[in-house]
Amino acid sequence: MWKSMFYKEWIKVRLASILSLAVGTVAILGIYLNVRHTFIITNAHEFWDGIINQRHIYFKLFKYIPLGIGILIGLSQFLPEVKDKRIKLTLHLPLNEEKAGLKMVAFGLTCLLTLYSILSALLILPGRYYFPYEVVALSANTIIPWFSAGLAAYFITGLITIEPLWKYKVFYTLLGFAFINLFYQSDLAGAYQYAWLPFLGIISLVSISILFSIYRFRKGEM
Amino acid sequence: MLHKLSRYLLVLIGILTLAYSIPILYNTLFDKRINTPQILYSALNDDFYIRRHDDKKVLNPVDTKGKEYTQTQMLEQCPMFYAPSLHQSGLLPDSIDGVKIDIETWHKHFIMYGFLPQSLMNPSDEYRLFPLYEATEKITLPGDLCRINKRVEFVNTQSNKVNEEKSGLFTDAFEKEGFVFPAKIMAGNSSHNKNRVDGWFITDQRGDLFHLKMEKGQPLLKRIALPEDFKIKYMQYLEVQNEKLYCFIITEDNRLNILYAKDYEIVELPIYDYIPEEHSIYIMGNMLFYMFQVNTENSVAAYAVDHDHNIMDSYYEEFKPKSEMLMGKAFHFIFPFTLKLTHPRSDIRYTNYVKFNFEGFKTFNWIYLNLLLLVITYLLIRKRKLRLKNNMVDLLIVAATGIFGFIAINVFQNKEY
Repeated sequence: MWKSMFYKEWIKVRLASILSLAVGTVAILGIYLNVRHTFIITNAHEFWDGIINQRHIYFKLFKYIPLGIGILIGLSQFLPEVKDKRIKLTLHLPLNEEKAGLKMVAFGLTCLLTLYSILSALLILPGRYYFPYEVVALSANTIIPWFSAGLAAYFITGLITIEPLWKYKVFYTLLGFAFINLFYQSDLAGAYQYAWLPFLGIISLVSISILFSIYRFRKGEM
Repeated sequence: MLHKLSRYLLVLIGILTLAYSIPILYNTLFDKRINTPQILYSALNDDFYIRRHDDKKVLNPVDTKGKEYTQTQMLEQCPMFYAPSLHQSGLLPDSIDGVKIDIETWHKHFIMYGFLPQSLMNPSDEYRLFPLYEATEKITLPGDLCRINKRVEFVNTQSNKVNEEKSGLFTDAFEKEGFVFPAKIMAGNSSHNKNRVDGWFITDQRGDLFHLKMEKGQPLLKRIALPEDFKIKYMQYLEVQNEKLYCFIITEDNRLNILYAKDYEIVELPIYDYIPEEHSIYIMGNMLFYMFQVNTENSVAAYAVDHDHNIMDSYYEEFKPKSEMLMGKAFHFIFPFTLKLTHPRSDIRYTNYVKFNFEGFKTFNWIYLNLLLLVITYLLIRKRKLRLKNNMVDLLIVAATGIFGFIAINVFQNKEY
């Protein structure tokens, strides 16, 4: 059952995954081409100075990309399900409906984590070529809330998409915006370095939220 | 069963988000500016002058006896604060208390500095890399940055490689002077827009203080003698023109000290009510006196201190804190608690780190609104013909979290099918 379920999910998200990977890679390429250009044209020391003394983030371009990927994967996975109420079929399988929902989310999460690992490695590791390890370490710290926001956005996208009533879709979206906003409270490098543990905690709180919408859907909330 | 859990988790997330967002929305709509007065000291009259604003305009300054002055009169009374504009209009006195005043000397001696709780850290504290400028030549970017961990290392910015020769030279000098690696606090000016190069003031593992400079590519490290029981908490390098002062040093027991350039003398200042993590301090110095202004949430204190570090005069004033204004009182009636992600006492604009801080339950004013919402929730449960047994947790949530819980349980509704 797992295998066929995952295959069904993969068909839905494969295009979005490839697209996400492509966009992320192009952005990273752009970031490092820009760094390289700056090192050639101007004084490298001035570039370092901006990073070290103003806690400037040289890869700011990447800030909202993990968030976009999270939403995109979520939409590509759950929109087809609510179209013509196809999810009814899934929920009618000889399978516990909660289990089925969690399997969908588990697949999406695996997919996202794979994408995020590839992109974060591509983003952080080349930095070592241009910058000392202090900068690379703090850069890795800086992107944690951005990727966390992507994960949270994925779960909330599932919740909103499956929710059958428009009124509640709007409420969830408003609350979702305010929630995601918590991950973008500072523009300084490493601002979340003392907070990512509680943030990891609140992401795990939101991880099974889709079950609530599935339950309402199943009970015929219209 | 899991769907019930998922609902409560969503309610919890809702409460967290609302406890952060709604108070911010409230403050955006109703926040009041606290008009902290500005205090000036006049060496002419040996008195303080107080400048206040209200929400619309700057009020006329008054002295400590309440006598009102026009803005121009005050300028003339406080020449040490406004020397450049007085000089332009030809009103700068030739001498005060027998000390000759001219604009060049004034410029050389004038310092103005502020420490806010959020600016106690130096920018270099984050990465712990700093540029060490050559002291004997024209100031140019050195092209490498220094780190002091297990040894001294210089990393070339263009190649990102450690300069082994220079690193070894400096490490030897550090070991010779008895420096215990790694470095702890580092104070200096990392910018190349400066008048002169004073190098860096660095404490080692044991808390001993050293002064590091580079002259003709050679390390120059001097140990600075500290007074007894002197544990440095914060150190700010001051870039002043007169070359007399190096740093302000705040010790673990919140004493404020000046490190003078001459013989590295450390002098304690007679300011005892300053808590660096909570208060702001403004420091003004000139050829005649120092003035310190300590601002707290609801008070301002000013001290005029002579160059022998004795208090000549002081001024203290309290005002209404936000929590006693209408908007502050209403705040405590509406919100049982709030979530703050930034440093609790600092303004959001200056925040350096995000942290989870729950604040509240200080007063019990919120109890009225919580009770009202509890009754409304109960009535809604009756109206929707739900079983009370299934909604006990919701009622508890509203009782404990008030408005946040009330919104959350109604967005994520508890339905019975």
